[in-house]
Amino acid sequence: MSYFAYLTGLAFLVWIVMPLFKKDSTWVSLYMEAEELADKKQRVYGNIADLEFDFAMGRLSEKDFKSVRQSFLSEAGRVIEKLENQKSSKFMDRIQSDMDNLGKKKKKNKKKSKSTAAVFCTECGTENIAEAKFCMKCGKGLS
Amino acid sequence: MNSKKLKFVIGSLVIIAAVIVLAIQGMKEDTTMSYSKSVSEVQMLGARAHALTLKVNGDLKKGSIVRNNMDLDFVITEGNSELSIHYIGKDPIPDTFNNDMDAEVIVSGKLQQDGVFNAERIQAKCASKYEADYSTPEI
Amino acid sequence: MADFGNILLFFLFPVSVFTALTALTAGVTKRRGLLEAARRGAYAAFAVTTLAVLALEYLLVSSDFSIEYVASNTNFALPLFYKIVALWAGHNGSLLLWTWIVTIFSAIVAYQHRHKNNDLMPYVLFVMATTMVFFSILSVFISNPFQTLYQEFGNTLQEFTAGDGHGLNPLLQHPAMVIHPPILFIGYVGSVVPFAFAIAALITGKLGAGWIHTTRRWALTTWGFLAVGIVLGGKWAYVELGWGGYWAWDPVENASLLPWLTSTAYLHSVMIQERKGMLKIWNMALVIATFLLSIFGTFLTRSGIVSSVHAFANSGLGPAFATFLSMGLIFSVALLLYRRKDLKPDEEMESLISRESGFLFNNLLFLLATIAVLWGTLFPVISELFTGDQITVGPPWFNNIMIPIGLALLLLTGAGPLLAWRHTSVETLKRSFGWPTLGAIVFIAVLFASGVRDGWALGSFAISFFVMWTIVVEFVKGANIRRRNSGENFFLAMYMLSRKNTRRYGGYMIHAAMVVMFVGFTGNVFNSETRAEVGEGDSFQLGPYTFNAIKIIEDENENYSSQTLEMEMYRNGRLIDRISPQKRFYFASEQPSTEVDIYSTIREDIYAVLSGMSNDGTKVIVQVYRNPFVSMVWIGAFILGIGTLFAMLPNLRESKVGGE
Repeated sequence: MSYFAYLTGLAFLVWIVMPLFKKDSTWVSLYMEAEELADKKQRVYGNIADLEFDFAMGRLSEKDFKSVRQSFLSEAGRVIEKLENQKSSKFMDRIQSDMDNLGKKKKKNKKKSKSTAAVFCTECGTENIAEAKFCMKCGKGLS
Repeated sequence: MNSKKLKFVIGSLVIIAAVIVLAIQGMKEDTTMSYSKSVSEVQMLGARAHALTLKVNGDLKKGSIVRNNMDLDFVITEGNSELSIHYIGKDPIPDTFNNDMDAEVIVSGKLQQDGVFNAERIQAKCASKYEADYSTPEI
Repeated sequence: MADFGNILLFFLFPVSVFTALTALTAGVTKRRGLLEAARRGAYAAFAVTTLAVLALEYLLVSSDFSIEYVASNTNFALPLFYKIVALWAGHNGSLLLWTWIVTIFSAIVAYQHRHKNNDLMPYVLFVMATTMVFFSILSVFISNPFQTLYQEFGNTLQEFTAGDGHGLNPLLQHPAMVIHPPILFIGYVGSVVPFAFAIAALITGKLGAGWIHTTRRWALTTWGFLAVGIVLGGKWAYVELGWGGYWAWDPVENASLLPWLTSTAYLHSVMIQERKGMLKIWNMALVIATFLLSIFGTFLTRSGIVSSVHAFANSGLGPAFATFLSMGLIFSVALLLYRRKDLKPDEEMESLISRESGFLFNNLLFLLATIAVLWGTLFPVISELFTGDQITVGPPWFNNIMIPIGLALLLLTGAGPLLAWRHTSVETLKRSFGWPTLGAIVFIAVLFASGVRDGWALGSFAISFFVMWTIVVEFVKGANIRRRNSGENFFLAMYMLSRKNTRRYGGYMIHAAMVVMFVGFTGNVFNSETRAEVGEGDSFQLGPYTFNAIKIIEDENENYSSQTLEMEMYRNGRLIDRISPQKRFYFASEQPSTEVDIYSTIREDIYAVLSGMSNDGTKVIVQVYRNPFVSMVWIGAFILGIGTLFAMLPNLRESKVGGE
C-alpha cells in the first residue's frame, strides 16, 4: 500500500513539473489604462441604468433626473471618446511591443534554431502561431 | 474641510461616541464582568473576593455532589485548596456533572460572607475523556 | 490504508510549496510554462488531499482502532452515517477538512481561469498555495489525523489497537452538527478567494473593479454559507445543549460572526466602488479583514486562548496560527500602504441623504459591531495583559451594544434602498417614507394596546414592520411599472423584473430574511420558563399550558440507555400534543446527554428538558421553556439562503426591452 502511495505522489510531482520543461512563451500584459477606461464606462452605464430605475420608482424629481442624466451622458461620451483614442494608440503600442518581442525572439531563435514565438497580425493584433501564413482572425497575410 | 464632509464627520462621530458610551456603560455593570480565578487565587483575594463576580475553575471533588431536590451542593479543589459551591442558577445542570466523573468545573457567581460560593452558572469540562485511557486490546 | 493516506497527505506539502514558488515566478517572468505548472500544482494538491480524505474515511468506516483519531471519535456501535461524518468531529479531522476545502477551491479557481486573467492568476495561485502550505504543515506535522495509537508497555512505547473506540461525542450526534461544520468551513475558507484576488490586484497594480467582478460570486457564496453555517450552529446549540437558547456570545460563536460582519460590510461598500469609484482602500481592507478573521476564527476554536463550550481542547496549534495570522496581516497592510496612492477615490460624497451615504453609515455600523465583538471576545486576554486579572464580559455587555447597532442596521435596510444615488430631495423623501412610517406608528400603537410594553421589542417590531413594507412596495411598484409597459400579468412582471436584476432583488429577499430573523431575535424578550419536580400523574403549568406527566420510561439499545418522561401538553385545557424530553447515557463515551423535546410552531416553541432525577429516584426534574418566535430565526435563515442563491443567478437578458 505504501509503495502505491509513493508512486501516486511521485506521479503527481512529475506531472506538475512537466510544463517547466516544455517549450515556453510569455504572455503580454493587458493594457492597464484601457482596462481602467472600460471600468469607467461600465460604471457610467451602471449609473445611468440605476438613475432610470430610481426615477421610475419615484425616488427623484424629474428636474434632478434630467440634469443628472445629462451629466452622466456627457461623461459616458467622454469615456467612449477616450476609449476610441486609446484603442488606436494601444494598437500602435501593441505593434511596437510585438515588433520588439519578435526581435528578441529572433535573436533567441538563432541560438536555439527553432521557432516557438507567436506572430501577431499587423491588421488586428491577433496572436497566431509562428508558422501561420495568414491571420486566423482577419485573414490578412503574415510575413 | 468643506461643509459636506463636515456633516459626514459629525454624523460618524455621533455614532462612534454612542457606541463607546454603550461599551463603557456595559463595563460598569458588575454583573456582566466576571473575573476568572482558580480556587487558590480566590482565597488570596481576601475581602475583595466578595465584591466581584467570579468565574472560578477547579477540579470537582469526587463524591462531593449532594443533590437535595432542586438544590445542588458540591466542592471544587485545586491542590490543597477547597471551595464549597451552592448552585442557585435556573439552567439545567450540565450532563457531564455527576459524582463518577473526573471533571474540570467552571462556576460563575459570587462568594458569600460565610465562604460558600453561590454559583449561577456551572460549566463542566470532562477532563479525561478525549485523551488516553482506552480499553485494553482484546487478544 | 493509514500509510496510504499519510503518505499522500505528506505529498501535499512539497506540492503546495512548489505551487507557491512557481506561481510567484510565473508572475514575475510571465512565462506560460510556469503558470501551467502552478495550475497543475493546484490540481495535484486537490488530488492528493482528496485521496487522503478518502483514506481517512475508509479507516473511520472500517473502524480501524489502531488509529488514534478513529479510536477517539468513533466506536463499533456508532451508526454508519455518524462514522462518515466523524471526519470533522475531532480537531485533526476537521483540520484536514479545512485543508481539503482550500485545495478544492484552489483547483476550481485554477480551472475557471485557465484561459483568462493571466496577469492576476500567478499571484492568486501564490496566495492560495501559501495558505495550503500553512495548512499542510498543520495537518501533516502538528495534528496528523493518521497518527497511530501508542501505549506504554514497560518502558517502551508500542503501537496497539484499541478494543473499541471512545465513540462520537454525544453532543455532536445531531443532524445540524453534521452539516454545520462543513458549511461554516466553506464560508470560512471561501474568503480566501476574494482575498487572493485582492492581493493579486495590489501586487500587479490592477486596482480597478476587475478583481471585484471576478470574485463577486465567490464573495456572495461564502457570505451565504457563513450566514447559514452560523445559524445552523445556533440551531445545534438550541437543540443539543439544552439551555433553551441558541446564542450566548460564546467566543467561538463570536469568531464565526466576525468574518460575517466584515463580509456583509464588503458586499454593501463594494457597490459604492462600482458606482462612484470610492472606498477602494476600504474594500481591500474589508476583504483582507474577512480572510484574517476567518483564520482567526479557526484559530480561536483550536488554540484554547479563550475557553468556550464549542472549543476543541488546547492543542498546541496556537503559535503556528499566530505566526500565519501576523504574517498575513503585516504582508497585507504593507501592500495596502505601498499602493495607497493608486487607490485614491475618483469622486466625492455629495449629500448626506443619498444611497451612498446610507451605505457609508451601514459600513460604519458594521465596523463598530466588528470591533465591539472582537473587543468583548478578546477582553479576557486584553484585561489580563493590562491588569493581571482575566476578566470575561458576559452576554449582557454584548447585548447592550449589539441590539442598538442591530436595530440601526435594520432601519438602514429599509431606508437605504429608498434613497436615490447622489442626492435625494426632501419632497421624494416624504413620498417614499410617509406611508411606511405612518404604518409603523400605527403598528406600535396596536401592539401597545394589546399589551406589549417592552421598549426594545416595540422598537424592533416597528422597524421590522417598516422595512418589510418598503421591501414589498419595491416589488409591487416595480412589477406595476413593468406591467404597464409590457402588458404581462402582475406575477410574470414581478418574476421578469427580479430575474432582470437578480442582484438587487436577491438583495431585497435577503433583507426580508433579516427582518424575519430579527422578529425571531426579539421573541427573546418574551421568554418564560418553569421548573418542576414531577412523578407519574403530577402536573404543572406554564402560561396557558398545562403539562401532565404520564409515565417515566427506561430503555436501552446498543449505543445508549435512556430515560424518557412522557407528558401530555394542554393549551387552555385542550390537548395539543405529547412532549417527551429524554436523558441518555452513551456507553462508549461514558457520557450522559440531554435530548430536549421541542414543540414548535411559528408563534412559539415549547422546549422541554429533562434535567435529572430527584433524590429518591421516583421523580424527575423537568424544565420547560416557552420561547416565542424562535422558528422565525430558522425560517429567516432559509429565506436568506434562497435569496443568496437568487442573487447569484445570471441576469435575464431580453432581446426586446419592455421598459424603455
